[in-house]
Amino acid sequence: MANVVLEKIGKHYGPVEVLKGISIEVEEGEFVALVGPSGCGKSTLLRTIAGLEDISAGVINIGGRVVNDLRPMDRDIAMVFQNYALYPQMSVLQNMSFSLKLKGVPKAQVLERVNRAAAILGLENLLQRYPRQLSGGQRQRVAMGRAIVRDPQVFLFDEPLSNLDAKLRVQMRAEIKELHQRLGTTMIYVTHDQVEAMTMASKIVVLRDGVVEQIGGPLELYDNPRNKFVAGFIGSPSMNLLDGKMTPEGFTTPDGIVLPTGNKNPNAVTYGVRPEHLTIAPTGMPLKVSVVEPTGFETQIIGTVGNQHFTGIFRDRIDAAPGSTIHVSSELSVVHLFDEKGDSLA
Amino acid sequence: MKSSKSRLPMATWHGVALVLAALYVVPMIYIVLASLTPTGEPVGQVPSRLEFGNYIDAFASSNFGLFLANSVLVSVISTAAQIALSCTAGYALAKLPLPGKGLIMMLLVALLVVPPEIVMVPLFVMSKQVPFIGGNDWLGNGGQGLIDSLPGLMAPHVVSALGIFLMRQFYQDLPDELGDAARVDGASERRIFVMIYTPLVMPAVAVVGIFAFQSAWNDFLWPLIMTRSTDMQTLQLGLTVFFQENSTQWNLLMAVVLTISLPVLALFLFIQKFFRADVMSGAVK
Repeated sequence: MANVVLEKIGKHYGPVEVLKGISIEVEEGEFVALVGPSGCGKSTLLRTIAGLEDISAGVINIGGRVVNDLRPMDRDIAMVFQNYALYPQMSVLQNMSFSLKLKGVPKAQVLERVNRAAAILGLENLLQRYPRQLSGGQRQRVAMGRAIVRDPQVFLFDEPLSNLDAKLRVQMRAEIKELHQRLGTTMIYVTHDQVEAMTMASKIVVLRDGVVEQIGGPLELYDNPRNKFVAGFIGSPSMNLLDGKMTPEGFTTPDGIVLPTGNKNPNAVTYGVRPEHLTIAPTGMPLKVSVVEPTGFETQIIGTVGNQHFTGIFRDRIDAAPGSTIHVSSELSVVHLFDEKGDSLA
Repeated sequence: MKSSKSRLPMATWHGVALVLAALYVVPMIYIVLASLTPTGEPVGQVPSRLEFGNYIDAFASSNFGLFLANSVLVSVISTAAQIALSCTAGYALAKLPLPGKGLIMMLLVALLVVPPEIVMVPLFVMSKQVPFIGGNDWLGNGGQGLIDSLPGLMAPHVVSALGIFLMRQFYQDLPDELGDAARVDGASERRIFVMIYTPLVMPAVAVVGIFAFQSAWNDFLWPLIMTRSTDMQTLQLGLTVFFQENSTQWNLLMAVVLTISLPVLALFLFIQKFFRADVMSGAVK
């Protein structure tokens, strides 16, 4: 176990700046998720921590040691890749023991460590198989097993579940979280799926265009997004963000619809409310229904408030026809306001 | 049951396939029959009896043991060298951060369309003027360089633009993540090349190997201009012993031709197992 401290990490490919002075502190044993849209630099950041990419500026510190110039093998990290990257010419056993053999670990010890990792991941009966003889989920487990046997100080995951189908993804999500609880090793996990980040990580780093937008616990980010981008990125479906301006009556949209808010900050130009925070209220804002999506557990209604896109999720079974209008409202405490720059006006 | 409508085109295709197959098989049958024709009988007809002694007579008529040794040495060493150079160069062009890779690839592709005969004269001059070799001074003058030597015979077969190009394409198709995973696992760059990537391009190695061996084994023109003594001759040059001023000993010639074509055939059969399409399956999604 080790902490990871990134100080003002910069990375550019020619004139293109991919990482712009990123600073993050990962505590020992913490599970940190790096999230952000495609091209935000999250995978590049992970690769710089692994030593697979050089950094143009900054300091990477793992376990109190500056590792900027160390090779990947000397950083005491293990990485699980998006597409497994198993060696196809080697059996599961050989894949998992490869790093230990390179280190010159005695054979008996190699077998012991591989068997232990295989037991954790339920791979005991697959050790003699080749990657081509495994299913997607099994391959992903082998990739994790390969990382576990090294007993590294830090695990790095680069979108490890993105190639799996939805059902397997949920299962593997739980397995990785359980693995973290069991091993207690520091983990840094890259994903573009914010649900994955919310459910697995103890801390989330939201990235956009090579800069950190916000760092915090999953619920902290959910409840108190620092800006419009984080507000829209965290949560699924994403937060409703309506344009307008503050008037003496309240926040008013360009269509003249007044939205309830406790905060009367005159700089507010965007009104945010999460779909799941809405309730049906006869005096609430008018939501013109376009699509109704009942799942049994909840009902999702997609439509418009004035001319602006709006989504609501309700635990009740709502019988609303497309084209009809329902009235919705939310508690004032869960309303978010943002200024022209997109910063929160909490 | 298939309709007669679909059977007719299939029969036609079988006919075409048979004709094409005959184009390859008939000459082979001709060679076999000619090699077994007793001396004095005209070749090209069914012999009155099968004269297997032709094979002994043919190989006894000249120093074929030495020619065979020369051919084997030249072919095996140049094939091994070409595989090694094609793999290393192809890997470097595909996977290493090499400046000017695009330009090098363009030159390689340009080389593919140059007939070997065009470069034969410059190659001969270069071989003759290798400094400090074969009695040459530092400017490459005064001696015979690589002429009439085994390294000289191997020279044009040691490296091939086609081999490098082919290997580069295969290495290029392999995912970079395999190398990254090995780097994290603690493998050196040399190990990544030898243990991770190269085992995955064995089909391409087999193709380059068979091309290289065949081209060195069957080469006639280069040994002809590079050798002066009989000691350095290869099997292909040795065949000329059967061509005399007024006649040609076709039966003996064919016996040797058939025999010396067997190693290439054997090599092809041996390396067939490397032509596996599924070698990469399971590595990545």
